[in-house]
Amino acid sequence: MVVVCTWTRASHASDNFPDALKLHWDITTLPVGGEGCRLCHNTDTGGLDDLNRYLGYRLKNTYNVRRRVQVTLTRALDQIETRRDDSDGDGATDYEEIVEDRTNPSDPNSHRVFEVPSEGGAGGEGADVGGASADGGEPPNVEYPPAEPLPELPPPIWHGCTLSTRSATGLPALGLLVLAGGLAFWRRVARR
Amino acid sequence: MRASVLPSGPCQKRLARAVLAVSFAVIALLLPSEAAAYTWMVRHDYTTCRPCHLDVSGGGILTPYGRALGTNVLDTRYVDELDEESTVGQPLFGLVKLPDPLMLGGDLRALYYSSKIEGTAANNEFMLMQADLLAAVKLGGFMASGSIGYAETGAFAAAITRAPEKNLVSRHYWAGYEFDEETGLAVRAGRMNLPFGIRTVEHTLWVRSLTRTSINADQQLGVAASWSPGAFRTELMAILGNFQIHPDDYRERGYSAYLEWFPLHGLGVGASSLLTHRDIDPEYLKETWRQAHGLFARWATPWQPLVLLGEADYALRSPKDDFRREGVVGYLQADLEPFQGLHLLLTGEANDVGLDGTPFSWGVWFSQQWFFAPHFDVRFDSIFQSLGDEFGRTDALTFLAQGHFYL
Repeated sequence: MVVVCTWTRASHASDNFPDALKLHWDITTLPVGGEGCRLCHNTDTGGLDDLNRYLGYRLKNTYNVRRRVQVTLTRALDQIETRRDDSDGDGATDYEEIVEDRTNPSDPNSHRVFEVPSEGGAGGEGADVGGASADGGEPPNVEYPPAEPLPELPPPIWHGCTLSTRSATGLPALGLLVLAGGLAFWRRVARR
Repeated sequence: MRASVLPSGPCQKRLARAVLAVSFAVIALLLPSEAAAYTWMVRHDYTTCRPCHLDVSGGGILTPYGRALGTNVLDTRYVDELDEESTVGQPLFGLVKLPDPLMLGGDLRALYYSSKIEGTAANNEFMLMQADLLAAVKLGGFMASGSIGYAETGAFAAAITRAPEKNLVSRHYWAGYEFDEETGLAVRAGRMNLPFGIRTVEHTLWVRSLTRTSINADQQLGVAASWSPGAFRTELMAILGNFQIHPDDYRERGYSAYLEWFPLHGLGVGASSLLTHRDIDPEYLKETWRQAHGLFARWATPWQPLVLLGEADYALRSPKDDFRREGVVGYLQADLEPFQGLHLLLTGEANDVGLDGTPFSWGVWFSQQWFFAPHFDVRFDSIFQSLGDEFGRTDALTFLAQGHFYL
């Protein structure tokens, strides 16, 4: 059998996307652990059938981001930033959550604490309040609109048989099984 | 005095060698892969897949006839006359004489992959693309077949373990009964390849990936009836779902079918149809209907080295309360065999499947496949694709080098 070239680690689908996002928005880390894929996917394995996160759903269905095609991601990120998309509906835009707040844009429970300015007082800590007017007068009252109902995401898809555990890998189990079976049969033949 | 653990008699030694050979083969083949289906065999007047494959629509395990034929017409010959006593083309290189009803097979495929997409860094990988062990039995009209393999990455739709990678996979397992050996009238039940279009080995062709009918991991559980009398062959499958994905909301139900007719010697024309429904599509996360309908053709031209294959399908995905993704996908392939065993393939493909107004994507493959020895072949593919979407056009260049060993 002819095989070519050197061994490299098998890569996940669109494994350049976390780096592309960091580069495009000039940040060094992402607000999720692991390889950063869990901004959009359930796991770092990735894949279209693992895209069960709000931001991933938005990128795929609204902006038609294409697997491994980085330019489609950067175009979508520009749109997300310009249009102030808020995929998880928690009141903080996706851009703000990733770049400024370091919170998860796919988790409605992960967002900065919003400071609502008190009536008649100076502008609060939240810059989105609108800030003080140029002449130092009182900032206008800001009424936040009621949050729109969030779309309910379906249960995540998973593969395999129900009896096997999530962390099991197949190779050692099958190899041992075959070896044990072969040795047992050899011994039985030898005893005849 | 204890008896020696080593086998002594000739029968025992043959059995022991069989155990060793099978064990070695299984261990050595612990990587996932897809079964091969060589649709250009129409060149040798094989309009149906039955004589060589137990699966009436092709692919999967080879019958003893298929093995013998492979030795005669598939591999490059280095001598004028083949040794008729040679068993090298048989399973396990003929080390073990299998009982007549039993068939064994397996595939091991290594791949070097290099891809450069416009605007991104080049991506290079070496992977064990395929490793499957296949077994089948045929006793009178009863037949059954199954496969088990190992997937280093991907192939989740065929996985039987639940890890994010390095999973055991089982692409097909079915049982059936052949009512008439001459016409191939048979019914099967189990997990099988979908009967649709040209069952080509190039599973990443858009015509296979956009219709989700490849032989890689698109198999489904169902019941299928097949028939191939004379100049016709057909198969209809009721799709019951892929029970290797969960929960049940993600499983498709529907049908898939094809009909092929050979009106002239060496020319086959066919039609395919597929319709499925699933409560949740993993891509759109919504209830989705999916359809694909199309035509295909295979032509062994009057010039024997040249075979032409082509397929065109209309594909539709309709998520609930969402835009339809639809369009046409097709390919045309020329297979030139200048001498036995060497195939030069030129393939063109195109599709505009997507939202309304999605521009055409097109691609060209230049491939070489050489069956240089029994059980071995190598393949090289150079692929250029121009991918169109509503944001513009992106070019991609891919190079594949494969080494394949089948048991």
